[in-house]
Amino acid sequence: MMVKGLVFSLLLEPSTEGGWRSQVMQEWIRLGPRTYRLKLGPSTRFSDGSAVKADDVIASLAAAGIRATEREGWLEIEPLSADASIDTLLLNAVLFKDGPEGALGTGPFAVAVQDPERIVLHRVKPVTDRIGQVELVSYASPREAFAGALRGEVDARLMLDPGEIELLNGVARFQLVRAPSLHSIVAALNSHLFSRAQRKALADSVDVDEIRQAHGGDCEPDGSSPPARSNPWAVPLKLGAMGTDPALARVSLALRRSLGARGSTLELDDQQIASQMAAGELDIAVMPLQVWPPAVAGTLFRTGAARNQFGYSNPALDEALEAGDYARAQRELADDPPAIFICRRLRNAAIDARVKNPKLGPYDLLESLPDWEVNP
Amino acid sequence: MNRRGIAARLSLIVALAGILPIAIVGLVSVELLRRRVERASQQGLQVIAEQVAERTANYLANQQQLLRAVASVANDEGRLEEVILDAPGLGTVSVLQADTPASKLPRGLRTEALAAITERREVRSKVYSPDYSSSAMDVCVPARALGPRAACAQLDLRELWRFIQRIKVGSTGYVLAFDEAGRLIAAGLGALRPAVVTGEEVPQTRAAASVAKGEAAGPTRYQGADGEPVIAAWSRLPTLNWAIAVEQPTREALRSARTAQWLLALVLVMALSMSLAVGVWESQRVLRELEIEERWRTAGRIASGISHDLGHRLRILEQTASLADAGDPAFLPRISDNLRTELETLKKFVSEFSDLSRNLRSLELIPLELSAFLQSVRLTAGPYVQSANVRLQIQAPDVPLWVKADRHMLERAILNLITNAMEASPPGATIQVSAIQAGGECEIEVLDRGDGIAPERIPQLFDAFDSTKRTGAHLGMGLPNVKRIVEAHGGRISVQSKPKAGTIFRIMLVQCPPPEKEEPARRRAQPSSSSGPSSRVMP
Repeated sequence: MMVKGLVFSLLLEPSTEGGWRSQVMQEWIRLGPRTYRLKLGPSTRFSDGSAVKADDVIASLAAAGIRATEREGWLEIEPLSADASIDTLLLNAVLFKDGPEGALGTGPFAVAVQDPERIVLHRVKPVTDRIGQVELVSYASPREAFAGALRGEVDARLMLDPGEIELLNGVARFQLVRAPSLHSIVAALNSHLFSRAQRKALADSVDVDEIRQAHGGDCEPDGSSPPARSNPWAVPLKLGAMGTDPALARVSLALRRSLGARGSTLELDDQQIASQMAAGELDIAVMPLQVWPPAVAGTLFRTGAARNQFGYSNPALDEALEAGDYARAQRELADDPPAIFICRRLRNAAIDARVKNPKLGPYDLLESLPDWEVNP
Repeated sequence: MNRRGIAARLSLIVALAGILPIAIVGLVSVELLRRRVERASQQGLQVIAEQVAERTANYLANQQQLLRAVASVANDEGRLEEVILDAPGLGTVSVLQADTPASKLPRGLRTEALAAITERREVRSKVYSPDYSSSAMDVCVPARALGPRAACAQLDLRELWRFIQRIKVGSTGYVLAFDEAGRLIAAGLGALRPAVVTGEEVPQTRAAASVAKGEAAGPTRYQGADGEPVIAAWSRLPTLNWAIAVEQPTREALRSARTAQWLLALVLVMALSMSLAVGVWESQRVLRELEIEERWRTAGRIASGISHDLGHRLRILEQTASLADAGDPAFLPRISDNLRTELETLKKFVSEFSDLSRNLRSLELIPLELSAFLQSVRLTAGPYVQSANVRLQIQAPDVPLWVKADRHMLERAILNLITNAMEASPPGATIQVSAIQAGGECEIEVLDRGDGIAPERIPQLFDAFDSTKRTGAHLGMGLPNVKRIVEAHGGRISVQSKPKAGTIFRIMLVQCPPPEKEEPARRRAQPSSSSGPSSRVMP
């Protein structure tokens, strides 16, 4: 997954601003909630130098669950499945074709070696002072992988956890690079149990800043939070945490403390929380929730969505999502909160200190790697 | 050796004589300084190690005390769990009771945790890794306000990591913490942190285990993790049986001593250079003055000798002139003898001065075969020997001996020795001239059976103007000239004499290989009459 963007290009990829951008498509038009029209760029080539043809795009889209029909130089696309979101499917639609030694992509790198121990990518067109080869090394366990990084066996270690960051402190060989993750920590409010007013009142009654601090770093404020106001409910609330991450547990405890006398039992369970929410057995579920790219962010709360087990329904949100107006969808979610947004998690990576300008991509973690400048 | 060489040698001797004691004192001082610095560094590290041990023990004791305090007053399980929000070092807090399932018991304690409930006492686990990137230690204390229950905290040792990793001793020193088995649990040195993650042994593990158990004090000098020599100090946490090591690379710990060593070396080199420069300059100046003075002294000695000898000659010539003035024909033979004798004497004067003025640095040294050379000498000396009524015996070597020599000058030196031998020999005596091989050298020996030389004169024998025959036709320049000539050939001359028994002069010259065209060279050097036995006697 990490190297996918280095070898294969998404047909459409999310831009930092929340829209789409593309390195292979010349134009794209959203025709409706389920349909796009795409025009292939004329100079797009695979790593073996062959030109990308419409058939390659159609085959690639089909592999991602999207039907494409060529019409007057354009490709009209829609999901193969009736209940699938075209926006979500596009986030996994990469351009490829089968070559004699494996799949070929249009990215700056091509797969040179692939076996259970490693994947080696070679840059298709070498550039001075830029990374010419990427090797992904396999270790028996995360522990061994991290120890290998500390020993200097690898030049980068991605997705560090807080303990790893602690141990990398003072290791001059690495620099720590951070970027917002795709997920926020939220306290989802059970809409089966709470009305819009109750949810709003609950969201306003907790001190989000205090709860966020319980996370212990690596989690940034997710928008401004108003000062906490007292809440008239005196009914004990049942909380659950979806996951066993200690930081998630601390956030849950902080939320429970913030709820004061209303905070009641706390369940830490990865498996049962969703069904308990659906069954109305839990009032609040603390969980990580994908909030980026915007095309995906609101879909969890779309009325009747498969993963919407919170009972949330907001016709205005549904309408905004249908129209592809993600900014409006965000506003609707803020106006009628399905959850208390606590903080946006950070993604951390240790990158070799010789790299001058390492950055992590907003969606694909290593998307800017081809531009990293390396000191000799 | 020329003046510059002499000056340099003098300067070096003086400089070394002056610098050497300073260098020895300096080196001893620097070594003492180094030892003192090492001792001071060691003591400093020991203080740090003890402070770290104390603070580590205090930190863990405080965490335990905090848990104990909260557990003794909290009457609500939920509030007890939330204590970690204000004390993150406690990691996670859970409440146990007698029927808590085993799967919910703390991983590091399991059944021991129940003792905190049933026996109402505190228990503590060893350090373990709850996941691959953290370390923890379980502590359970009785939760008195909750009845027969225990509050257990999974202490998060990342705070300990932070504390240990932040400590810098100098710019490269660091701290290591080990548990009772010598397992590294926190490291200030990045290169050792893989062992914190994997639990693998590090070079210090064995020593750390000994220190942790109180069996040993720990080594103070060894190779650090990256192969660099370090000095170290150890401390023990008796309550936990942990060990703390503080290591500092010797290059940093002993930097001041090293700097002193380099400075001393620099000062010594500078002092030596300056001494040499000043010494050479001053020696050259003094030698130049001495040379000028010596020239004046030599000129005076020459003038004295010349005026003495020429004065004697002048008096004889004045007497001869008086005889001529008398106009008596009977005096004519005597006048004639006097004039011939004085003429001969003056010729010798001129000859000796001529030798003195000759530049011996431009000698033409070519291979010379000594047997032929001695035959040539015999022919040249023949008329003089005959007139002196002595015999000259030449003993040529058994095998051809070759030296590199200026034939003319070497012959003059040998003839000079033969002349001296003739004058010292009584009538009918034999003078022996021989050549033999001695080691890698050739020895030419001139022997007479005359009266010999007084022993007290021998040390000054080769000094100029020091002849015993100053009343005759001698300036005292003969033997000094011989010595000059021999030394110009790279050889040396010695004398052995016994009063009333005779004198032997020996000239030692470096032997050289024969030239490639030996025969023609030999033919040129040998007179046509020289063939015959190796030992010849000449009347």
